[in-house]
Amino acid sequence: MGDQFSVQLDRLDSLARDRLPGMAGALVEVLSHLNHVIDGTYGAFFAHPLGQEDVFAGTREEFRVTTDFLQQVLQDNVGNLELAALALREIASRYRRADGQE
Amino acid sequence: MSGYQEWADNMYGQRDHFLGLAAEYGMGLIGPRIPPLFDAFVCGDPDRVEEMVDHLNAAKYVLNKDLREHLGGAQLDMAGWVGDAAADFLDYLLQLEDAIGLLTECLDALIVILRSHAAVVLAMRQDALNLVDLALQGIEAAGADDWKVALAVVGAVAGVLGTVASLGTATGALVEVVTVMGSAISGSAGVAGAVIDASSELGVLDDMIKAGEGIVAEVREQTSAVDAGLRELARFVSGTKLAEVRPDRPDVITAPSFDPGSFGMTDEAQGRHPRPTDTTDLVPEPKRRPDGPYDRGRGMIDPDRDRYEEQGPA
Repeated sequence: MGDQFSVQLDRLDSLARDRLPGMAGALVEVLSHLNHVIDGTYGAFFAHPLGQEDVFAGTREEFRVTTDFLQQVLQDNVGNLELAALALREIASRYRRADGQE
Repeated sequence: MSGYQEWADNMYGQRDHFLGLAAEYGMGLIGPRIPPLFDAFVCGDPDRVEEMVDHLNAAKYVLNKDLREHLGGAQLDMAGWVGDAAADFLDYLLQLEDAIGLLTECLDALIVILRSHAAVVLAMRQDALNLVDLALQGIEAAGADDWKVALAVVGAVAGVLGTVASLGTATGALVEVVTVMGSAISGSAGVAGAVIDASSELGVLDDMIKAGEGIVAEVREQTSAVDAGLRELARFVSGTKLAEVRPDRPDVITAPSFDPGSFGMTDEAQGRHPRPTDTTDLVPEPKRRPDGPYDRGRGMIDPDRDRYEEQGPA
């Protein structure tokens, strides 16, 4: 125990099972805040449904577009981190299998 | 009762009062112009904006605390791993560190945009109250003599941008958005204030509507700067800087097979342990996602342009 081989695999486990999922989780939390921001769009740029003026109609639309792109950026990053975690778990598993540990 | 409801009740109460006066004075042509004015004055809600800004600040905190902590740990965990795919993965982690900085700026830019919108709405409300007050006084006095209607809304966006410029450390998305917004309002500094100058109740009502329409016109002018800021931020995250806010997938995801030498240990660490022989794909790279709702179909010139480029193979 404690040789460099197992130290390297412990690092890979920490990366794949703790750090990368932790990063993805933090980004999911950021996404959740962004989703609350997106939920506020209607109210922030509100116009009375029966009114004759909708002064911020254009802004409301631009806001939806911009926040949608931000949302996609965050979702893509989350997806990439989750895939990377899977790939690194697989690498750790292959090193262990080759060593007869699994 | 929410702040918004209180404001809307106030404005619609004033509207009904002025409609009653218009009817009383027989102003058949002017009456219909009153409701749109007050419909405009009840647009937008700064309280909602504050809640949104709170969430953006919370998001910034998570990015710069939790995410950075895990990222720092991840970079340390890469120690001792050698080969092309390992170097590529460390590079991916370093790119993510830059992406956190850029995304933080994007959220800062969005905060400036939202605060500008709130400032426009609050200034519009202030101007609307001033207008109503002067009109009521004028009707009471059966006339008004060159009374100036304040237009706080003229400086609304510039006021918010001014607080950003004084920070002095802003770069990237924030600077671009602030610059674009500043250009959009550069023409509004010289707008003359509206006046109420009439010798009768009827004239006061007529002037009130004209001055009110002037306020709404300036609200639209200021809002065009908010729109410009939003478009600039959209361009930033979907185009010019997409590759930086969304680093490309690392080789461990995209490579079609696994070469143990590309993500391996030094000979010393490997020692007598056998190296892996399974070289099949680690994870299949997912196909491209379908376009988002706002990717296409905007504008006549280039309706097929994909504004946000999805990642991965087709």
